[in-house]
Amino acid sequence: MGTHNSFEQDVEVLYLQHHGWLKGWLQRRLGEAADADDLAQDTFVRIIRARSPVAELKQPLAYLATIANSLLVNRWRRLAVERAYAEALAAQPEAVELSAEARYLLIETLTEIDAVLHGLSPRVREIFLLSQLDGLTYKQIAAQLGLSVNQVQKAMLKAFSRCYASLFE
Amino acid sequence: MPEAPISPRVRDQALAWFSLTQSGDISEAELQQLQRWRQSDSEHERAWQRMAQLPGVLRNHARVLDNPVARGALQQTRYVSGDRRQVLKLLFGVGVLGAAAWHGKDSHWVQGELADLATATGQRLHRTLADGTQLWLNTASAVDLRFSDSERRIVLRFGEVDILTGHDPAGRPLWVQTPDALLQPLGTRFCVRCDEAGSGTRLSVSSGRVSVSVPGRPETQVVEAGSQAFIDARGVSQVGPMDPGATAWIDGFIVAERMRLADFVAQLARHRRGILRCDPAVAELRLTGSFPLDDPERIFSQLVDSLPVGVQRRTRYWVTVVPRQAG
Repeated sequence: MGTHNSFEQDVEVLYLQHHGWLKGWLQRRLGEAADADDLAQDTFVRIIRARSPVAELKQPLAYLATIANSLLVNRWRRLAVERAYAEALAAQPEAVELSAEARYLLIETLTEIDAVLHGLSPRVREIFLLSQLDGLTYKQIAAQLGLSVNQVQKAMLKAFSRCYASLFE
Repeated sequence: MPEAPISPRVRDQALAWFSLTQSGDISEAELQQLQRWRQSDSEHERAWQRMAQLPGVLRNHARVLDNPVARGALQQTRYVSGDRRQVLKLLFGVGVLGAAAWHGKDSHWVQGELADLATATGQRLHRTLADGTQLWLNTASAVDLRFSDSERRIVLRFGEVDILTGHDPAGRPLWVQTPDALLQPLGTRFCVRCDEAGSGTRLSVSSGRVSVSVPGRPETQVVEAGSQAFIDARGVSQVGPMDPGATAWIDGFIVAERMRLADFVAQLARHRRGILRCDPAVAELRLTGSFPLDDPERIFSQLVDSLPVGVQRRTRYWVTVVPRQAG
């Protein structure tokens, strides 16, 4: 038995060796020590949950950076959604503010949808929502937004191919 | 069980068809044409079945989006530029890269179109094949999948592919073919790169072993885990320890450990459309760090921050890394 470590021990070794580096790496990207601390912890939480072996990582730093980077991306996306939500709320003074919990869940859901639509501009998103949620035809959308049908077609193709890439590629 | 792959060409056709059905303006003749397209090839039908899932992205959340504030937020979510932290938004600049797939005019373009799996410059792709074998395709790469009753053969036409071999229930051997060599993995994860015919093949073995044979040469040679090698018509050479950053592209990074700037720029250039060069005067500068491949602009600003260099732009597509100007 002797030298064979448990998964938890392997993670602990990884943590002791590289936690400081990871925190520094995150701090350079975030500019804030407190957030970097949180995200460094989250990175290890994710590694522990995933339970994929870490004993013989060839590139432990790249591995940590990859996981931390996806957390950074999620966090950034969530912040962008929160900001957009706050702006949308401010633009509709009569809208009822949700409870903290309901708001949290709503932002969570919007962040998930946003991840599928990432990179699409507000204009393309608007066209996509008008078609897919409101069921307008491309002609109706074009008329409503003062665009040509061709522009609407292009936007829809872009939106569908983005969804396709998010789901399947 | 994982599905067979769908080629970019069929995907684009299916997207065009699907978008037409959503227009509210499709004609009877077009509907019949669509039926014929779907029935003419099983790959078409599989692509079509995927399309049918796309509206779910929004409609599954229709109740949430009934709330006009939520809808407005989703519509207006954007990654504005500004403070330093927000440069991260460039991580999402995938739309620009996606455009390459539609409008690419690489010399490899036509070949890539004909390949079973292909990526445009700046794209990467991960696929799991029916036998469980996993492929990661790096930027500007194309492979063919020739699976028969007696063997599984993956042909790298050009570019770079990382392969994690699956255990085939039918026990068929797996071969990987490049213009220079025929490789047989022996329970393995490994990465093969061949930029163009005549340039030789680079092999890096992460685990297991790979047996290499070169056309016209009788012997085979085995490359072991943790090693890399170069293969051309003269056989296997330059066997040495694997570069630890060699497969960081799978995770979307270039990982540099005291890397020469010229080598770094050459690596980055593979992922970016247009011309990217390094002035010989700064070629020997050394660089360390992890750099996100999807964001060349951010990498340029990191370079300027950390080395005495500047970035000279002749046009949007022609960029040279040069010594920083005095003053």
